[in-house]
Amino acid sequence: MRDPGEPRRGLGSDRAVALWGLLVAAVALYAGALAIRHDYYVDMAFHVMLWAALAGAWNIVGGLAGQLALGHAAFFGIGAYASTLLLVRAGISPWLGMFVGAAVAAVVALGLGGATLRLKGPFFAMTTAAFAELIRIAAVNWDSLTGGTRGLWIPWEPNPWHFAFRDRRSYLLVAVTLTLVVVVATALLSRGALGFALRSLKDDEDAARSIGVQVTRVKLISFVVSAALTALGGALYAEYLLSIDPPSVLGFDLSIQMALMAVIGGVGTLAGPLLGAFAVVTTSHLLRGWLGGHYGALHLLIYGALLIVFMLFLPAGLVGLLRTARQRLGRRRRGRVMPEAST
Amino acid sequence: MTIAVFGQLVIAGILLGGVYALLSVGLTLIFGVVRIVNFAHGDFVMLAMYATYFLWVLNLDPYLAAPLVTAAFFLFGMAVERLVIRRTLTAPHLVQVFVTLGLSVVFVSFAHLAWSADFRIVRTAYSAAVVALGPIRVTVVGLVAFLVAMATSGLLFLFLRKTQIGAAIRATAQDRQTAAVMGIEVPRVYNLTFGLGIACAGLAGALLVPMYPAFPSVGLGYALIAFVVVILGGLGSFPGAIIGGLLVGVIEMLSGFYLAPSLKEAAYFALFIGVLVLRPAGLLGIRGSELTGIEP
Repeated sequence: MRDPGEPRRGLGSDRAVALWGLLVAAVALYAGALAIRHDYYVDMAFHVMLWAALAGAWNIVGGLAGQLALGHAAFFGIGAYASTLLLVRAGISPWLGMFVGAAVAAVVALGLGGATLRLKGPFFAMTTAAFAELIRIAAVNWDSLTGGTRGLWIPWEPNPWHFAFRDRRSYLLVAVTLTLVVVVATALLSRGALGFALRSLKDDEDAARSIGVQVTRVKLISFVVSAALTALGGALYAEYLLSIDPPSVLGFDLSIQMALMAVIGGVGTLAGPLLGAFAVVTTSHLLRGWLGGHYGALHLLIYGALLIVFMLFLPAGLVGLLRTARQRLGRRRRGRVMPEAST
Repeated sequence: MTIAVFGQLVIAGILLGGVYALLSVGLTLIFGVVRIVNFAHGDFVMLAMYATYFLWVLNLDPYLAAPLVTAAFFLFGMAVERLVIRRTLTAPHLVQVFVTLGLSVVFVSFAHLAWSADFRIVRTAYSAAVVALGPIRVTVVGLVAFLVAMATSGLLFLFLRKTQIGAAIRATAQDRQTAAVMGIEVPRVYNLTFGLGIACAGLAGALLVPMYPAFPSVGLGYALIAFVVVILGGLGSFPGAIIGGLLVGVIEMLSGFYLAPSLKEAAYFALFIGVLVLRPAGLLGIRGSELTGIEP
């Protein structure tokens, strides 16, 4: 008889369950993506998955490492501009360009993080926000490179090698893939010694340092990975829209949204960013559809209000809400107090 | 010739810097006492600009409206503290940052919905008036804004130094727990201080609107300026905010002229990042506060 405290092995093990869960989710997402017919819903699904990936990428540094980065628009924009510039100026396929963008973002994150990750909470947030604004101003002013306020546009020519697809669902499939990559990255970073280091430094940095955790190095790893993944998202977005300019890929509101979705969904959790992105993006798309025009800013008002309400009353986000609901239902059904499950 | 231009820019920078100083004094007061970073500070300024604008539409001169707006925003600040901020005081940084960020988003989108993105400009009989101080020319509105801002900051400083309530505020800033033990009602101090900080933002907005247009997202720029000033001058330091404000005003004017108008923001962001990386405590701030966090 197996002792309940002992981890299960083989096919029933936690790891196997996780892998199966991932496989099922992936199949469901791909199948779902292919099943959508109407362009409007494909577009909405694309935005949901893209933001799920971005929120998930932010979550790696914001949730796993607990560092409040409010400048991720910089990495998003770097990815967008890098892949677009390489395509438009040098004819290099975005399939390659996006990884170049990710590499550039990673290097930038290494530099920025190295200089600033030792700053606590709000200070780090302010620095990253200021940095992203600097990048935006640079993009606006460096006319010869970035096209300044006019931005860049990609001439439309269907060519899968150049990341230009006739069927919009192809973009959606790439977005789904990116999201899965982000989920896998998050899961991998949460495991083992690195995961332990992240959790401990998130809890109490000084205590973690005292037991030998390489705090700066671990924070830097999460920041760099987060930046690279965000840049991939930026490249994808640029290819989808075919035109980019500083406000659309480097705006401060983008940085806020990435963090906002992860936080509303449940910061630090695996499913949180996905839930958050789903909830926020679908609500805003539907609202914009119904209200449109003059009431366009209403969805932003709702974002802000939701953020405040969630932070004050539901800091664990939607995931936390679901967990409490599940626990309450479990207790009621079984009629006695169950030991807390460590999910 | 160039000396004259330089001198003109410096004076203009100091005048503008006076208003920045007032705005930042509010922020640093909130930092120093309540220990939270108010990401919505600039948006309070924006709302005050609109309030002053609408009072002007109703034929009230902006400088007469200013005391009304200040008083209203004092109350507004206290209300926000009581309803929203108070719940975040014991919460992790994440919650505090996102709550004030959420407030910012709510204010901006409310302004957008209610008043559209059109620029609102206050024009009075003296809007374009210029006064000569020796070889330097200054705008009347700039001069008045500077004088009022500096006078108010001075009064606030005296209030904090000379009155009992001021002493209570300073005590809470120094050591919250000991202050409580001494019989100071810390929640009330927080409430009052937040109100004062927002009142400063409100007055700054009223003083700015005769010079600059009001529009929903104008707050972001002012918030960032306030942060630069406060970090430069040192968190929680009143004199630091004044000096920092004047300095940032001058830097903005000089870089706007000698570099490019579109780069003046870049100049102080770069300064901001530089200060945070090299001397995070700022010129006059508490050393190490950015590393240990701003816990009392």
